[in-house]
Amino acid sequence: MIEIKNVTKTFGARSAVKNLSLSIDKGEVFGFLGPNGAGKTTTMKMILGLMRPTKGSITLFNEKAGSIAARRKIGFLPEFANYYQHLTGREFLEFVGEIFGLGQSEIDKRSKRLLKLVNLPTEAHDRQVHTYSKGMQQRIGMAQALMNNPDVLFLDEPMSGLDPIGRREIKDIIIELKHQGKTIFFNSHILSDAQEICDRIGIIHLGSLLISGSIKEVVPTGKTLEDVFVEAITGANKPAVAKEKKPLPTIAQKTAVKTLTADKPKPVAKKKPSASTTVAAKITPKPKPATTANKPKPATKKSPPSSRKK
Amino acid sequence: MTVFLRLAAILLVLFSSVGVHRAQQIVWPVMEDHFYELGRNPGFVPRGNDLKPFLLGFDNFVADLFWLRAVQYAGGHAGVFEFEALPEYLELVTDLDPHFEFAYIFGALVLPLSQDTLDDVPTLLRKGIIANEKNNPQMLPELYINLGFYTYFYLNQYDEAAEIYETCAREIDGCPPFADKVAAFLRAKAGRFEIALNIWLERLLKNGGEGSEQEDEVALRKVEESAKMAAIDCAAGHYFEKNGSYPGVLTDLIGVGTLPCQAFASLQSQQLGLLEKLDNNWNLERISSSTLTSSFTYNPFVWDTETNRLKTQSW
Amino acid sequence: MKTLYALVKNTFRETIRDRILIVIAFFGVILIVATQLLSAISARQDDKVIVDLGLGMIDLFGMIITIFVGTQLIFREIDKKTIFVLLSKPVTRIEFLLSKFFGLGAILTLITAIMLVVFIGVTAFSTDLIVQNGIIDVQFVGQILLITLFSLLSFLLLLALVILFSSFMKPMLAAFSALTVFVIGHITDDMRTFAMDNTVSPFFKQFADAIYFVMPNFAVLNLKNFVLSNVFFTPIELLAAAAGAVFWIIIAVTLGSLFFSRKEF
Repeated sequence: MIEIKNVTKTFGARSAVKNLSLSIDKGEVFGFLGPNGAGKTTTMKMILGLMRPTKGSITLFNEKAGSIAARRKIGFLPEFANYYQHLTGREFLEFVGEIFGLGQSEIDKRSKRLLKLVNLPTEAHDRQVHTYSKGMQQRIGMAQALMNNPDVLFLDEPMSGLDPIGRREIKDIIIELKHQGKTIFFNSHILSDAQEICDRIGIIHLGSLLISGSIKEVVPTGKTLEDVFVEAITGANKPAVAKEKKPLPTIAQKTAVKTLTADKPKPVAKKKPSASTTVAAKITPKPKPATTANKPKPATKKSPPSSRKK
Repeated sequence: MTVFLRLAAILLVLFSSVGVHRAQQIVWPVMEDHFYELGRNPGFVPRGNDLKPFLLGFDNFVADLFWLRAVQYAGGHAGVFEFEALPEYLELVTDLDPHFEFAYIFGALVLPLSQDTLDDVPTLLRKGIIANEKNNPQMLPELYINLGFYTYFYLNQYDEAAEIYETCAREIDGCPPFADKVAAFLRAKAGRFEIALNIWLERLLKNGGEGSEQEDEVALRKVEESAKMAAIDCAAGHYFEKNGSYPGVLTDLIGVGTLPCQAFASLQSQQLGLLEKLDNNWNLERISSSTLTSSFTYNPFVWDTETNRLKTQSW
Repeated sequence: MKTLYALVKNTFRETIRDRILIVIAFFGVILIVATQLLSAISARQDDKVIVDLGLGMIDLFGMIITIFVGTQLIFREIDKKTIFVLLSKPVTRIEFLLSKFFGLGAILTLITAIMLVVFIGVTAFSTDLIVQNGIIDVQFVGQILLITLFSLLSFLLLLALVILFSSFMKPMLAAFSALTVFVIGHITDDMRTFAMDNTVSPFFKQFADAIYFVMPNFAVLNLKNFVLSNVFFTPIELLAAAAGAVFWIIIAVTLGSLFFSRKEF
């Protein structure tokens, strides 16, 4: 459904996303996790067509990312958006419906249903958006993203900046949509939510995908997603320091292995028809090529700090 | 407590208004002097063409602002009759808005009131004529009339003034009908009776019954008058040729021949015929006593021994 | 087309509800106060001053709205991230940019029309330029309409420039750039005339010529300085001026779309 192949995005000398490959299947809830500035939003913007990849390709439903045909079938909830301040909630949905070329009766029908789904209080339907609380703005944002009944829903940090009740509500909406069989791709750094909602996750850090796989496979029993995440990130941050102190293979290196293996066998995995076997194939550790591929990378990363030390 | 606060507020307002008033009393005269000096100094007034590129098309509006300033300036200096900076202001205003009719007229009316600015009028009015003759000719009559009046009244240059009025009557659409009459009057005043005669004859022929009877009557009388004046002028010339001096009094001219006379030589046959048809109790070829006495009710004249010319006493 | 209409309607509605019409209240108050003050100090030229002031203010207010609202149009969508919402839907970037032009263009048309009505009302009330002896001076009213129509054209041209520049610049810089073109567009005529009249270097002559042809000409759209005069424009002259403006509007919006299509958010 969504195919990201070897995508790199550079801004000047800085690369925000490095050689990222990822595929998301229909009906999946995919959590794209990573610390702030990891490249999550950049990736999402490339999928939506707001940015173009420097290298690589992205397709949605076999259409080029950003093409009008692709954009007809998606919904997007941006992070911290301030929607049109002087429109009422209902007018905003009407406007979105008009963009999709829906008829008036269809617009009325859908907005009624969506306003109910996102649980926006009735008295707020005809109030201007600038009078809304943050949670209400997020809910109307969710409604506008669903206006075209999209096949895939992209949510950029849907829960950030909300109070616990707001978060609960948004989470409920996502779960509700999941039950409806929607494919959902969301960015987050709130791990507990991700663990609760997602079928699969990917962890990205400094533009590189460290881990991807189903929750069950990525998170060993007895650990939380948070443990895996922190280990992955800290491991990727300081393999050099770790090596200087003691060349002990850490869990971070193990996860790094996983990442690369997850990337590499993908063409093989793609040939296989069933989703579950795909995931399995992705996760199968293949140490040898992985370590050879892994080693040069930390080495190059290591060199600047070590030269500084001298 | 609130009562005290309110009282304090009222007192504060009272004191501060007194203070403001006092400050005004002190500051205002100083400011006024300052502006007066600024206004007096012609260098202070910017040049219109320098200013233009910065106005972004708001030329007319800025012209109006400087017009207001110019009017204030003129008003402020009306008591002393000094308008040093006014020509500069008006030049600026008319640079910015060349179609600002009243700015020219105002200049023509006010500038001559002071000796210092008397000479600035023709420059201003001629600028207006040049700026409007191509694309805004409706403004021209007013400018011509004012320029003619100025040349006559303030410069006493009758011939030049008459020329301006004649140009107006001849070339400018909408020139008021009195322009050629004024020209004829000024020509007579300048001693160019033959031109005056011509103008009246033309007017009489042009009207040809179309004008009111009264107007034709006046024109006819004026033709006769001008013809007589021209004849007397010619006779005086002949008298000088014969005697080597001009006559002391007009009666010396009785019996002196008038022909050939330049004034009549240039007349067309149609015009001459008209002259001959006039109620002739005088002789076109020779000055008689009736030539000197009749028909000058409106325009009595004397022989000016200083200039040796005929001099009209009034219109 | 339907999408474009929805976008235009939204731009229009957002801007109108942003209390933009308050500008007209300012306009009316200034004009009315001015008519009262000016009759006292203008030496019987208050008719002229009122007309010049009114037309000047229509122009000034239109320009201010164009610059200030125009530069915010795109920036605000990016700043509030609403542009992400739109551009992730089946909205092309060209449609987005065009909707900004047409949306604010409609606002400018509306505001200019209201200001014109206020102006005509005030002028009719305080002078006898419009109604004289119970008869409407059709020629004068026609002149005013023509002048305002061309003012509106110049706003639209300025708006196209503002949109062009804000397709790749920050608001302040875009406003500055558009104003620069506006200023140059007002003096190219003068510069060219100056170059022809005077003994200047051939290089300057060519430079003035070049500028004249590669910059939109705002001066020919400014007819307000001929109000109350009898300067006459032939239909050909007027059409040429209007066609020039439309040509530059198309160029600017097209260029803007080109830049905007390449933009990343």
